[in-house]
Amino acid sequence: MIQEFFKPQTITEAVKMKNKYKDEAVFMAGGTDVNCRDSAYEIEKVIGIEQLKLDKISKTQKKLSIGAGVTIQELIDSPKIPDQLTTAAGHFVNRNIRNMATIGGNIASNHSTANLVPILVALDAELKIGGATAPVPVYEYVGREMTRLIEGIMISSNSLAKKYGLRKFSHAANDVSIITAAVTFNVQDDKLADVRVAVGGVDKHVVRLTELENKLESNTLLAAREIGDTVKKIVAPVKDIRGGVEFKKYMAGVLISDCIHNAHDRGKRDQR
Amino acid sequence: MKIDITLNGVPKTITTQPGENVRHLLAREGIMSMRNGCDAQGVCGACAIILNGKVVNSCLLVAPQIDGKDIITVDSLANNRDLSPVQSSMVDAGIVQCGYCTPAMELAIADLLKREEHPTRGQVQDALSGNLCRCTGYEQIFAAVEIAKKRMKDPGFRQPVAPDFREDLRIVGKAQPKVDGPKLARGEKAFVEDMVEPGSCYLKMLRSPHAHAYIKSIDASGAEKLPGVVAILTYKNCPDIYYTQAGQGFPEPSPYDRKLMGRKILHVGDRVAAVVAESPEIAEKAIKKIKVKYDLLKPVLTIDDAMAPDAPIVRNAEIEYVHGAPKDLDNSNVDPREGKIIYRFPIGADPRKNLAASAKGGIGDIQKGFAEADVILEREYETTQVHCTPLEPHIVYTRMDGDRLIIHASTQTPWCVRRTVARALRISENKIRVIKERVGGGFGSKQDVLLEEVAGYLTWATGRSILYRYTREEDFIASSTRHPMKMKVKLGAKKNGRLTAIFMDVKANTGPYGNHCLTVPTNAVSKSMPLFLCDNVAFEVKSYYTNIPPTGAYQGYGAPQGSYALQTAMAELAAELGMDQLELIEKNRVREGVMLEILKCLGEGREGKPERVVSCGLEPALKKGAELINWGQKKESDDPDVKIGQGVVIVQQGSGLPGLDSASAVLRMLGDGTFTLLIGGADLGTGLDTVAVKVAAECLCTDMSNIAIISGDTDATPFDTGAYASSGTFFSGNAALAAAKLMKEKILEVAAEMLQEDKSDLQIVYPGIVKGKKSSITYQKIETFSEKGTGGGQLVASASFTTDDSAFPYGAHFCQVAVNTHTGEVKIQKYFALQDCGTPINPELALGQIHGGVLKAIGHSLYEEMILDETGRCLNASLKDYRVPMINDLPEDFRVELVFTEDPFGPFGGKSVGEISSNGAAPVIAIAIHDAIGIWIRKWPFRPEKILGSLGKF
Repeated sequence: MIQEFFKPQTITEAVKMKNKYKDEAVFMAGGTDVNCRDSAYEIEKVIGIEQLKLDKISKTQKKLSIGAGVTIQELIDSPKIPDQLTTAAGHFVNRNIRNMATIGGNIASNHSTANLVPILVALDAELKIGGATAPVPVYEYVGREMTRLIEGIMISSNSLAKKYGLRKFSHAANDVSIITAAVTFNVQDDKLADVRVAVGGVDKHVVRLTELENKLESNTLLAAREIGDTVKKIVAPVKDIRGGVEFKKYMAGVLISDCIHNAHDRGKRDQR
Repeated sequence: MKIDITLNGVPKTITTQPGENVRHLLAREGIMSMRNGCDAQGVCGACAIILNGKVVNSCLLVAPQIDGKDIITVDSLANNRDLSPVQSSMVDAGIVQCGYCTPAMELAIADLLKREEHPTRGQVQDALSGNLCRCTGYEQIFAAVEIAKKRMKDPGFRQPVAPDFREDLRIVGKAQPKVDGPKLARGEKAFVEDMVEPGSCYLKMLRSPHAHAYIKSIDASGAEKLPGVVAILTYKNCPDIYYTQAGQGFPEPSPYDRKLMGRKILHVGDRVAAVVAESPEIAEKAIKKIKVKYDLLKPVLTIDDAMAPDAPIVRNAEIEYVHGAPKDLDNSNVDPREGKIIYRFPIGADPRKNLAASAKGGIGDIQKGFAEADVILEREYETTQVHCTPLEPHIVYTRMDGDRLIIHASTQTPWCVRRTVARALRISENKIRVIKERVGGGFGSKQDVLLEEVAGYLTWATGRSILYRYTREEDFIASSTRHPMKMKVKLGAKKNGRLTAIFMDVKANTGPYGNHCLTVPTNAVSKSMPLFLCDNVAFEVKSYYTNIPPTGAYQGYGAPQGSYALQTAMAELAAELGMDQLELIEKNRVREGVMLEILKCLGEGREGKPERVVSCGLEPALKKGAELINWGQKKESDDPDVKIGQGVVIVQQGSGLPGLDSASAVLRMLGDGTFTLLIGGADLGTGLDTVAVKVAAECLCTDMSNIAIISGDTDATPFDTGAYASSGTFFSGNAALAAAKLMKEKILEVAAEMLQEDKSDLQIVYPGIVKGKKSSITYQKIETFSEKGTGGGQLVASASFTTDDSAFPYGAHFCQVAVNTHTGEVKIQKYFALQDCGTPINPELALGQIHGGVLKAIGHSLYEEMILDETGRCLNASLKDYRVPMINDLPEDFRVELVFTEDPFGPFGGKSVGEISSNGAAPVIAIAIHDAIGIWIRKWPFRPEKILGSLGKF
């Protein structure tokens, strides 16, 4: 039960509070995760960040910047947000939640099948961290289970120019995803370059499949079956109420190979 | 802390706590229209508010998040008592059933229409994507949005929402606003949770973490000392009274096999200690202080486990019979810690072998039938445990009024609640009043008396008012679910497809208690076998005690399982014979006029009797369905991985239980010529109150608005067995009609005296006028005359309805699926349910009930199932992990057609509509999947993992 709810007025103040209370306090934006009944946060101190107004979206020639407090619905509604991200935002099949949940919260909550994280990882997105000058890659943030204040998300225009594919798989439309996947790459002289493959639902966090990335890099497109077989060998999901190990391995292979082939063939967004 | 908000346009300063949930906070401010279906998991959306112009879930917010913000709730939509266009459109479109989710849907639609002047179907789905509704199947929402959109510009706008039936009638068979629709649409106080008075206590239950155990010791002394703890009930201090929780007519076929608190633990979630305290927090704290030691036993979880020769005995209790005790009854080796099982009469049980109930029977000569067959097909089908998930969890509020116990219940069976609580408390029924409030979805799970007795007992014992509301997890592990079953079907047929023999062997897992242990599995037979005409038919039914979470009634009551087995087997037979599936159905299906001899063996624990099929709409239903779906002409997919398949099934149900059910009604004429109608029937949101008002208004030639209805109150209204077994329209509706007919006679008698004319020369005409040869007179004058000192007193008509006649509803369901062989996904492209419910009394509500029933069944066919681990613990006891269909899971083309038939027995020919619609989805989808990919899936649900496994993908 939350006993104290702080509303710092500046980033500096917010960071100071977190440094003071450390794991005793969490940051809260929309609250869909922290306030959820089965929240992992049995916490008494909350540092609200809504009043910090981290809700700006800006686009330059070099990069796209999204404030951590931008809601999922605002991503969909903003003309500045490219298809890769609106598609991933659309994977939140619940408008009420989209009106509350934020992009920063989706990263920070760090669920294995977080809808936005695979595409952000595949786009080499970086985070502006409160109180820090150097950006932190999203992949590092989730992998190291960081809890530092996310001010914003930055994605380079070069990354956004890459071919991409993303998929999610769930039993019912609104169900928690079983597998999420995103890929990006460039094609140079018919060969794949700068390949990124990110997948959720096969590990504690969204993971990059670097072994597959290396296999794809500087090669012509592999057959879907070969991609799928490679994925099956390198992912290690666990059985849960939504599926068994072999099923999840197979689905990860299917989604990733679909993402790559669809991106390669059409370069267009692919939505479940 | 203090926060400032603007609530429905009014600035307010509210004292609160940093962690206070916003739904609770607004409830403190008297705003009750935000409901709680998922315990703050963000799944159901019933708690929605508009916060600074955005629709959000108030359950996922804490007080500091709304400081300085503007909040709109549904309470502000209506203009005084006039419904807003969105609200009136919801009522008119028939999308308001139980009403628990209605306010949240209205906010979503109001928001949508503010953003989009002409929303597309996709935009409507998106706007409602966070709203869970279990009753309606969502489909009529699209019409509601369309009407609302136009009504916002033209307040008088109306459009047809359902076809009309019976040109000879004014009201019956025409869409009319549901009588409780406006109240629910306004989000007024209507449900049990709205009745709680300040100062009430809260009941919380300590539940067992083990599936099978004895309580070795229990020490509640530490908990009792906590300030604010009022009472703690354990097996040590509870009365030694046995009863069944099954909400059935007396004498119940379900065994009396439980006490308020038992010493034997029978499932994970079984009751261990009930704590009453002055706040929920104190109750929860007290629970943590209760020390319990268990002697663990090996859990029995499956039918095979229960049948094993060395299986642990789940119920090694002392057995008693009220009637018909077997001569060899042996109680020598029972364990006294197990208590008793009392049978009102024999139900074929042998608890020492975990056999909870059994029955067998047949007609003709089954061996001869198979000997005559050219083809014999034998298959086995299996179904898993699925949950009703009404949006409003189980809830009761109990309080004392002098020396009487008042029970505000969310129940389908007020009189069963009264009878069962009286037994459990050892008090007489006249000491108890049960008031059925609006019910936030029942679907069978609120047929049983699952929490009223324990709250009632503790209120009776302490004098304190008690609210007992299940958490969503408790609802999963301690209420009613669909029995898992294993069913063998053996069919014999001639080469031309004519059936020569049908045999069904049904084994059911009834779980820890015997609620419905005989009747649900028997219904798997009695609501599936009579669909096919065959001279040689036999069945065997057995149900077993196990340690899974409790089972009970769920819409369809065994018929969805039996239908899945038999209809799929028939399709497999068609494939074996190389015959078109529809042709095989046509060759063997039931027809008007036939006698259903098999029903003499299927009597709900008593002797049955053969029944004649007086009306049957299968012929037009099959014909129209085949046209709609272009039977046999499926389109190929452009995607080589996607295969298309079609299927058809026929379904049936009953209309209540003739010979067992009983309903009553009272009509009173008031001084101005209007009426109050009192019925015992329990409207679960299905429109039963509206049925009763409609038939009475039709009969009395008056407007619906001239009849006010009170229902389901054991003090105020007369007896009714309850709303289950699809009995509402047929029994309670017929009782209302009988009362109206009697009232009509009384009116004519008084009018004859007043007009000085012969009664036979008088007729009643609209609007409430008695017309004679010479003159006419209004109801108002008749009642004024009657109420005078010189008159005969207020006109009151009291009637009951019982019958031996049956009115079977029938239906044909057609489905087209697209199976992705790459991902295992099954998309339902078309689902057409053609349903014969005689005269649809409320056509628009019938459409919604059928859509809702079908969609619930699609859910359990495709993905729903309760998943237990090896210890019997349910791993997905939440709406987040046990997913039910939402608006984005709708079939792409989802249609219901009402097929009119003339039936002589129902009120104005009405037959039931509630349960039948859930019987078709599992078999028709399984059949369509086979048609698509050539694989029979013989166990539901048909998850992608199963499909891919069948295809050898991993």
